[in-house]
Amino acid sequence: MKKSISKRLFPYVFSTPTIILMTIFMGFPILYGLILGFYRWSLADLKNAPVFVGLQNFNALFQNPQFWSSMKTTIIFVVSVVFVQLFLGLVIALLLEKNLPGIRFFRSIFMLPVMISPVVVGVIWKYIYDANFGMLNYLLGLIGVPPGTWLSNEGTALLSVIITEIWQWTPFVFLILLSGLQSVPGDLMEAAVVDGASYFQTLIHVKLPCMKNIMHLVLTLRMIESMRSMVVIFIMTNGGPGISTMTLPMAIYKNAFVNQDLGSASATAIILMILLVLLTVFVKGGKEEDDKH
Amino acid sequence: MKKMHQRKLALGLGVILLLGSTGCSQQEGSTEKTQVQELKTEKEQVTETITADGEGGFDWKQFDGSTIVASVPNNVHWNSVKEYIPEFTELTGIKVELDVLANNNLHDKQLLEFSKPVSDFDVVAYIVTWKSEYNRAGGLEVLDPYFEDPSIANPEYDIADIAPAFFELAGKVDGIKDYLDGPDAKLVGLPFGTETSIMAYRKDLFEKYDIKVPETYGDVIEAARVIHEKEPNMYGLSMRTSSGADSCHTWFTLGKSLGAEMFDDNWEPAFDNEGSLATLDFMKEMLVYSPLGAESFDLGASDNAFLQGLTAMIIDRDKLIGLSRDTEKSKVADSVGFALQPKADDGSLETEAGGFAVGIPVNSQNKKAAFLFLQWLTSKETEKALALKAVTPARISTLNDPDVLEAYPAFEVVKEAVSYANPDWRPGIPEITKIQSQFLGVAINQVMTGAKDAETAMKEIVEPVREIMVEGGYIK
Repeated sequence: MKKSISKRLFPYVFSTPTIILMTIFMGFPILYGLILGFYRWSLADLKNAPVFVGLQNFNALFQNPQFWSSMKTTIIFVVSVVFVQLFLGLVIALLLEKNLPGIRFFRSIFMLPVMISPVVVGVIWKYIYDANFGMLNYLLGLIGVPPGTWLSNEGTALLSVIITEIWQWTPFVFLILLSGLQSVPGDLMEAAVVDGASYFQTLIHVKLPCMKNIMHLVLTLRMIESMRSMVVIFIMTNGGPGISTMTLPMAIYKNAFVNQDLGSASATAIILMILLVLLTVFVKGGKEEDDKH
Repeated sequence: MKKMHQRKLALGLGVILLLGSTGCSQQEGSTEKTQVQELKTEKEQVTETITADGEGGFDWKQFDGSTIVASVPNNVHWNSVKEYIPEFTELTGIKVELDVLANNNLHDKQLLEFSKPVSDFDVVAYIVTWKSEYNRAGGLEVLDPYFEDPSIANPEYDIADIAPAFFELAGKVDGIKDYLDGPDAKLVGLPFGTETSIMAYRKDLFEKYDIKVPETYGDVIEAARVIHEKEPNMYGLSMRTSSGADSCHTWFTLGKSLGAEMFDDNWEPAFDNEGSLATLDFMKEMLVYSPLGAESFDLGASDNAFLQGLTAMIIDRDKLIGLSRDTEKSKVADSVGFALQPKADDGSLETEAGGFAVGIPVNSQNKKAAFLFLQWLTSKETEKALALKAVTPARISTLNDPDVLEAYPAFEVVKEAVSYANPDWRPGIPEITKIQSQFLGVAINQVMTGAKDAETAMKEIVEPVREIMVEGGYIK
């Protein structure tokens, strides 16, 4: 029976408030930010209207060696953080998968880092890495290793913030992957065991294929979050030493609030967004290829 | 029937959601407000005739009942003056709310406020290098007419008593170079929180190893070497070296006496001049006798290294006098001596002229009440009270006050340092923030970490900074 017009319109009526709110609080700021990338507007000159400059902001970025350095730092940061988190998260999920006595306690303890505010994480690790008073150098000293200048050295600063980021977000990956492991059909596992498959064989040929979707999900989520991550870097190194930890989000912050160049900051944000979309499409494309096979 | 009931329920929930989300919300922020009072405009407050106290005295109560809001940093000056603000309220009947933010947030928030039709702030505390930028944004009220108005200018204020370098630095705009005094200059602020540079040193260690108080850069290197070699776990000099404004501060502090300049007289970048390279060589040499990680010390790390007893010397702002005495933060309270910072071999010395000032936003609704507050804040009496708490003053009379000098003999050093302070110590142009954070500060830090040598690092930033100066209209 054909639905009446009112019945067909009803879902839209109830969606309208949400759509309006999302347009105002999400759509408008995003659109405004995108448009601002084509204007010159200083935080010190808000009384005057922004000046349209076309692609000038983008041109200036592409000619700026610091921009390319930030791009490279961001890619290194994201790739390192995401893949190590995936690997470690999976290993820990496999280790804590069995429902042994007391296992819930360990799972809860392991979740603590993700519950701490990134600001606090940054402060804690900044002190851990402190060259003179930090825990890391103290512990290394106990085994005869000379102290390091972890956050003051261009060669180790990026690695130090990567480790901090991994420490904080691996539990999140673990949690998602654990739920994936627990949803692997038991009969498939039993069949594999009956057929004589080893633990490693069941992992490679049963568990991981069943967890494909969830792994793609967590890969995408972590990639998006890592690309936007800046709080830990801001607290620990503020983009230094030099510009060795200056990722694109840090550069956006500095452009907007230190250099007061809102146009350049928006242009950088647009480039970051394009990069993120491309990576997401790439990952999604990889998933679809897997699904075909 | 059931479906009708469900539709009504869903419609009701939708309406509630819409109304709830469009409801007013309180502005959040990392602010602290001491008291909430209903604002009154000046028009309601100012009496038609100025009431004197019957003996021709200044009428402090002419804006009785007003409330003013001050945008201020979390620093020793404002933290110390808080306890005296009730006295101002008792004197004038004007309530004062302090809106405290970290320096970077202060800058952004104040700029946003300047762009509004009516500012939430009636007083703004600003770093002196922001002065020109605020002036260009049309943010600060010109104070000259206020000082010329006998109804609101306290006759006992004594503006000439303010140290000239600080007075010019804190509030003069539109003169020479736009940020200095000159024929067309205007006054837009008064010094409160201004600072100069001095040297603090561990007098106990200097006495122990019979080291004379350094007077030249060579003396500093020698003192650092002796202490580092002879005293276990001790290092020579604390310096701010982290990428950005911190490393620039050290470069200016140590370099101005050696001839380091950001620009020449035609605004051409001069980072690679002899003085600049000599400064970087000195800083690099000092790192040999500095604690681990010293190549990227920020302000806090540099201060802490000295205050926690890790380094024997620090050449930085005069606020160290108060900081070193604070037993909650300092382990060396009884062991610190102060001296003028070292001079170049030819006797040249240029000390820091920096810190904070206070002004009134153009779009404040309580400008005259705010002006009374500014006069009280920077008055001889208030300044002396703060100086007796080791808060460094800006007035000559306070620096010469016997009570202050008896309590803090170190202010003799400050007095002498102020005489060498140059209001053009650091270019007060709006572009300075970008140049320091993106170019000069990065380059200095790269020299400190060894990523680049001094000459390469400085030469590489000449061209990009020149482009900024051309774009800003300084270079034609």
